[in-house]
Amino acid sequence: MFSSSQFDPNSAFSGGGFMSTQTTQLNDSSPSPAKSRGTQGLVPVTVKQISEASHSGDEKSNFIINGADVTNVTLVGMVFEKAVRNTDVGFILDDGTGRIKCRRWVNEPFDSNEMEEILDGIYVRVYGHLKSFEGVRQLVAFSVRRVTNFDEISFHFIDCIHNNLQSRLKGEGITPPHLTSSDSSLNTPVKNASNEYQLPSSNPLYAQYSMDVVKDCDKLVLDYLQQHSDMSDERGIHVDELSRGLKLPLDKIMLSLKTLGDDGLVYSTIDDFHYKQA
Amino acid sequence: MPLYVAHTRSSKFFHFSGDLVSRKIVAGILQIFSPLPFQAMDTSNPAPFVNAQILPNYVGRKVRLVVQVNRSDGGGVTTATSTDDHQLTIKELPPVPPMNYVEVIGIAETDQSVNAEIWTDFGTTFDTKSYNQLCQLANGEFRSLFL
Repeated sequence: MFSSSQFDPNSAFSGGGFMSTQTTQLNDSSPSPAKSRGTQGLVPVTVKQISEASHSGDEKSNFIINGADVTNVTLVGMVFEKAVRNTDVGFILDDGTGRIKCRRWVNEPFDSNEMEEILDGIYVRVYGHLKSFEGVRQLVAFSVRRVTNFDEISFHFIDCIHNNLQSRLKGEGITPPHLTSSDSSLNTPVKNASNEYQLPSSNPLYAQYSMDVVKDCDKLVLDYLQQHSDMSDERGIHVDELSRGLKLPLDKIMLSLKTLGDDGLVYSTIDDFHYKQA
Repeated sequence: MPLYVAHTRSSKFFHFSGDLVSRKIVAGILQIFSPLPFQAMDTSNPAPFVNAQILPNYVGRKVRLVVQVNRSDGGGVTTATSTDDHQLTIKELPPVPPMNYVEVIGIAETDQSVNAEIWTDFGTTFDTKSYNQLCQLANGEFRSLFL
């Protein structure tokens, strides 16, 4: 193994023997697949997935779920055994696949106000940081909100499935251009349901997971930019071309571009009339 | 306005410890005497998503399902429609307004009845199609994420 890695041009410049061994083992052209697939922002997961995530046990290291480093996760489940202490509020989150201990540190009045609403037996959406403390996996929550639209429960688990499917395809080296934009059987009902959602807009990290929530016109624009991106040069696509190509009025196109721009999915290039997909 | 708090039969247990202090003591005692650490993750007792078609696979075990209530006979027996449009019997469910959607977590008694332990009134609107598809995916291709 050592000799083969010596001839590997990829690892020849990547430093010590440890690094090159790693490269050979993972037999991928990229130096570190786990990293290249990216530390994902906020990953929707089930408790079962957390229980099976690989982790070295070292308190500082990351968890690996779906083949990618994961630190921040979002879960939906029922609260049990809420316990209020001076500095924090602890509870057990049961999402039907398992139970995990959660802790919300209470520093500001805002934190305690938010936690006051959280009672045993209610459904909540938790955003938090995955940690291993004395060998026990737990969630340090930075936001705990009551679920008021119960379609959010279905949505969350479909979101987990979607995320798993996406990374599975990535792992196989298939770039799924149509997966993010839609697999109609999976997405259509969710899209209908999610019109009523109040996705936490205050949480920009979540935006990337609400991709499938983009409205139809936005999606058309995005798809068009995606499909025509390789043919065009750095200037991107002119809004008039989008309007002609999609047979949609210019003001609608501009509105969609603004929304997509705010979500960081597209950007304007040489002027405000040329756009490219981010 | 539907009631969003889930009700459990064991909620009476918590009533006596309504004030914070005694509740803390109870939690403390539980922590001392429980053989496993109170914090340990536990995936040994899942409540899988089911519809009427999948229910027979879990007879005698815990399940979760969303049903639309048709009628309650007052004696704790409720007739309800599953997300895949079958009639099911839910036992031990308190009266819920007819036509409301309720999530029931309980033990599958037979392939057509569930004994409710925890219930949450989901109100009058719920996307049963998505939920039903979720049941299928969670018991099929993506089972490993759930069970």
